[in-house]
Amino acid sequence: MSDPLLNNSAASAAVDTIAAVSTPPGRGGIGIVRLSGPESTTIAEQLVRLRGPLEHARARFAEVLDPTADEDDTQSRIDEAVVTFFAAPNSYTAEDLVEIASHGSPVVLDLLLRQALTLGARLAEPGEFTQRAFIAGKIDLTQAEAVRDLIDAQTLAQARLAASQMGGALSARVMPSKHALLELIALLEAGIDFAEDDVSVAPEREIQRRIGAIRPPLTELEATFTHGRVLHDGLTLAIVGRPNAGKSSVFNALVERDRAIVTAIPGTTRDTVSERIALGGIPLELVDTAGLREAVDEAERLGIVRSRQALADAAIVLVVIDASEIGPAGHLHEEDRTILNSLEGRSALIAWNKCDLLDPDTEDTLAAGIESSEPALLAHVDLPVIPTSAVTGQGIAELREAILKLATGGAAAEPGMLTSLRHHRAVTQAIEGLDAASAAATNNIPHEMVLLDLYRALWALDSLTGQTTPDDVLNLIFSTFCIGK
Amino acid sequence: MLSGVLAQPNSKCDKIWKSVEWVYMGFTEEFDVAVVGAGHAGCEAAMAAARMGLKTALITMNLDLIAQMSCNPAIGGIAKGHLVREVDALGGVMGVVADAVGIQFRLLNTSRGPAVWSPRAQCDKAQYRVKMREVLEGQRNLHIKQAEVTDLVLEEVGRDQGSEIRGRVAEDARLVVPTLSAQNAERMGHPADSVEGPGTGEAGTRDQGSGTSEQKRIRKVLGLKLRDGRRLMARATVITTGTFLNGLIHCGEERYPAGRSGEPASVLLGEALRRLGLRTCRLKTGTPPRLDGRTIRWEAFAEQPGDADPTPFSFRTTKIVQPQVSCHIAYTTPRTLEIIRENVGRSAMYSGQIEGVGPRYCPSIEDKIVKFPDKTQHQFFLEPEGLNTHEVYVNGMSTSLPMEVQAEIVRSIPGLEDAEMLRPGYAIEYDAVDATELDRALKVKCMEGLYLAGQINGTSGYEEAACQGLMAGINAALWVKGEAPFTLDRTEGYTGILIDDLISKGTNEPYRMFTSRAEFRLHLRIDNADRRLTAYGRKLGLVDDATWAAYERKQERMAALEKLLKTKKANAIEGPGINHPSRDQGPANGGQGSKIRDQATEDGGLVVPTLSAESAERMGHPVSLVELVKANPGATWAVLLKRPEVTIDRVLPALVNELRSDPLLVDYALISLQHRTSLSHLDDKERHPDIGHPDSILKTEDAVARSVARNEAKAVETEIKFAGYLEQQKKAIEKLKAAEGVRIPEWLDYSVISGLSREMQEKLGRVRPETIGQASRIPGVTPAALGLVHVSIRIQGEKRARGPEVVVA
Repeated sequence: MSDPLLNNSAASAAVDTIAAVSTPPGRGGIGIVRLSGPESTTIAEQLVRLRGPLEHARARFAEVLDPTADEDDTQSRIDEAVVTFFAAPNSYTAEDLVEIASHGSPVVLDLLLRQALTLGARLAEPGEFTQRAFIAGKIDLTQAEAVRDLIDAQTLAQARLAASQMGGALSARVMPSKHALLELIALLEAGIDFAEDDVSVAPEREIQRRIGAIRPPLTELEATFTHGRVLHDGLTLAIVGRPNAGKSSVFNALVERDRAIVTAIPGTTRDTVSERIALGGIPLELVDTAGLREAVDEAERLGIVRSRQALADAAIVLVVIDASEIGPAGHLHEEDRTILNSLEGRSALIAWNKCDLLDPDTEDTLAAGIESSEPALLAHVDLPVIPTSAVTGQGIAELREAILKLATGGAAAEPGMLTSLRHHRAVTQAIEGLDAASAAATNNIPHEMVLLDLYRALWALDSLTGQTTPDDVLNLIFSTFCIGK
Repeated sequence: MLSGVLAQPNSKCDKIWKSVEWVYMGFTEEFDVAVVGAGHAGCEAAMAAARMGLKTALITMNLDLIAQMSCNPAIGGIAKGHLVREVDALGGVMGVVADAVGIQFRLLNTSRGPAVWSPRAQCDKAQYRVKMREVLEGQRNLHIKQAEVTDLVLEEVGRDQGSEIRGRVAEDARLVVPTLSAQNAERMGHPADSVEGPGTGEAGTRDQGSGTSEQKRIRKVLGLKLRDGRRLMARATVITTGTFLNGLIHCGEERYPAGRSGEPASVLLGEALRRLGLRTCRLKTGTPPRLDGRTIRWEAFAEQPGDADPTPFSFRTTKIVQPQVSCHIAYTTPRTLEIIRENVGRSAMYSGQIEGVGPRYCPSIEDKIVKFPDKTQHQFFLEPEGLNTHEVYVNGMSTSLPMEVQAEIVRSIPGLEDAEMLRPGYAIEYDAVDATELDRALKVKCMEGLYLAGQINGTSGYEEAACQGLMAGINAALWVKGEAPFTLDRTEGYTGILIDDLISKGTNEPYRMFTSRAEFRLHLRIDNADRRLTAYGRKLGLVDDATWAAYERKQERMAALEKLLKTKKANAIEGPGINHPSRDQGPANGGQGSKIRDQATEDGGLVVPTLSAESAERMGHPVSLVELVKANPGATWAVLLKRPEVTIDRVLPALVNELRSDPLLVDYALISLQHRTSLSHLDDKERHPDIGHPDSILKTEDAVARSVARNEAKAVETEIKFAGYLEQQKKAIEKLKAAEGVRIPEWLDYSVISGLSREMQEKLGRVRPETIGQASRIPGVTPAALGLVHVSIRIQGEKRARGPEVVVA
């Protein structure tokens, strides 16, 4: 058995529901997640909390909820969205089509897309919406030729990708699991198709043992996604803190040039300033922000709104605290405390800045105090604290190291990591298939059904390594078992 | 198929033209459909065409060997049993004939779910031939002829450049033909030297047609030439030559041309087909030696009896009439392996004498020993070839070793020390046509009116042959009638899968059906073959009124049972005797059981002995149904059935009152209550309950009814219990249907689709898939390539419609 149509965009137009972020990557004014296919509305309804039923060509307000929060938790609302539904055939693709426009935060868009995939949508191939529109006769021949060229280019890209995957590290890493899975499938298939021969029926224990051996490498692989994705896509680090804490100085020190204007006047930075650097091979977008405080004028107020947005979007937050301001017996400023409180559960670190301004004795005390007097100074803050001086360059190397550690989760780069959502989806689907098969075997479900779950896992891995055909299964059966009469 | 419609004789005028035509062409007899070969494919093809009302000729080289089972004496087996059921559901004859002469029935794979249950029957080989001939001779419109076909009468009608052109040329040709001179007509009969033309005369060797089919000529088969000089005109021809095409038998160092052991090969027809220029390949298959049963010491072997409640192939069969016999299981000894190892170099397989590719699922004994040297013992079966013969088939010992080595091998097995060999095993090589030359109707793509079925298409097995024969026969008949072809897709049956595999991929070893080839295995069951196909058979005119009525009744019965299970709330006190006290429940529960029994009796229920604690334990049912019902108040039986430990045979006894109108099921319920552990080995004498109920209990002497009831109940159970899995497959089915819905027009030119690699262009050009779905199954065709093809359909389509040029990229 095989499902060559599993990811066949051309052939399955009428059946699959596809999803993608249809606005350019990065933060825009708004970001749109688009769904097309028969289950678009069902998925959308579960994806967001709609205020009012979906109607053709009508926009509806909706709330994007944190899927991990409780149903009734009012705090679980993470964004607002406008949802527009176009009923088949009066849509771009001639299928049911739903567009969810949110405030453009990449974090929210990513969350929506991943949720949509979990709810049964398939990640759209590049250009697939247009392809569907074309096949449905919605666009003209000139556009159609553009589509053909697009697929053509895709073909080349896929061929290159496939070639690199086939011999690539990811494929090499998945292959042993896939082969072990194929062997289990062959064992069960042989038991069914050659029951007349003396092929013994695989006992449940054996099935569980084999699944147990196939699964761990896959879960390990799955876990590399966090890191792998960072390696691939990079991440954003927002530098926040009170005015004049030295954020821009730290920013400049990290980008190694005077990118942001630095003055002694609090509130110099009005707008966010960003710059890409590579840190240990990871693309890192550094965002310098306006200091957070009660704004003194309109321009600063707007700057602070942007700072808060940057803080919300960033994968890592670097809080810069002016150590010199606090003094030997001092305590954290109220605004610092507020910032730190808002970071609970997030990936963040503290630059204990302007250390050069402390007299050596105090510095020592403070440095020690970070640990000893923690309850007083940084109560309940469980974040790495790096003493720095943007002026002398003290601690900047340590700061880079600490950022890198947060970015990679402490893991070192390894060959064959998962770097794309598509690959990650394939591995999680494989694991889901294995788990379902294991549960089915436990319940003594007949093998031909356990096999459905195993094939689901196999096809998912196929997308990383190349297709398995029914003949491959038969070949394995014939080379493994002495069959035939 | 448009061309077919255009070229049909559809008026009186046409008929007159036709008769003028055939006299001119020197035909001596006229038929609508001619079937060449009367094996398992040929018999189905001829029966189908004749039953569809067409004058049909069935031509065989030997009348006495119609429907010969040339290899093992059994029909069915895993996946093959599914095919027989499908043939039967469509109105074919194999199932009925096998049931009539079956001498040992076994339902295989019952330890798994009903999707992979498959019937198999040992058949009396001689009686099979007799019975099939009786069926054929009883069929109106069917003319059986003993003759050797030596050639096809052909007419060139055009080049395959799209249906419009093809259709037009075909029509022209029909008008032109009657005006042909006698000389021309004569030449028509000699395609080799004239019709083929000087350029291609003898060039029709294998792989000649590797170019894309756009360049292939379209020819039409007008009839057949027989060796005795007769010429049969036929509007459609079905060729089912089995292993007879250039057959070459190997037995050790010896080899000689033959169709089967003791029968001549079809050399002339083989040459004629070769001249058609179709791609061919050389395949190999083999058979084991046959022994004299009187010289076998039977007590040395383990007996393998059949089922006590035989499952017939045909939905129409109500009774198994033949006495039932057993097979025996045997094993090789170390000495056997030694003999084979010493002599393996003398096997035709290993001496390099055989060039054909043999089936891996049916290896010769020498193959098994060479390829699996660690296996110290190989199993084989001693199968009776019939009731009136002592001939025994040694299943599992196919070989092409020299005869004296075969004898030595046989005698190395305890129990066969004195066994006498009646016939030696042998290997046979034969020509098969690359089935990618065929369309889904089994018609040769570049020929009009020519259909191929069975081993000639590269398959192996009686059942694989039968289903193709039936489909080819139906389609030949439809073509003659001017109707659209009848095809099945992969979601409808194993038959559809077999044909789709063949025409999309071809095969490089004899193709056998396996359930693992079916991606929708859970839906393609033996119990629903009729639900899948009988309506088609009815529409085609192959299913008679009585069968249709029985079919409808069965569907009603199953629907009623399903409805009952889904609506009826489970109530432990509802029926008698459903309490199964578990071992640790103690006497208190035993008391409860009897209370329930009493109550049931008062309610007018039946008194049925409850199972003892001991037997409940033996059956592995630790949880009593009563407790389950208590724990799930308000649940329907269907809900309980979803639990792994609750099976239909545990539930039905509680529903005997509701099932009164279905005596078959009531009987099954009561029997299963008593004999749950040994369902398939019931013996009428043992099973005897004093269960008298005035109207609901059949005296079940009829074991077939029993198996039918069980299989139906199990099917309903499966649909409920595994609804989730079935639903999952249904989604995949919809997906495939969608892909099958996107047709690739015949005019699509792959060679100008930019971005398609040459390899892909070549593959697609050779197979010329009919749909995007079929294209996706051609090995190596990627999703991106499918996307390109899909888009190009519209691009090329619009350009065709717009410009004068016929095909532009």
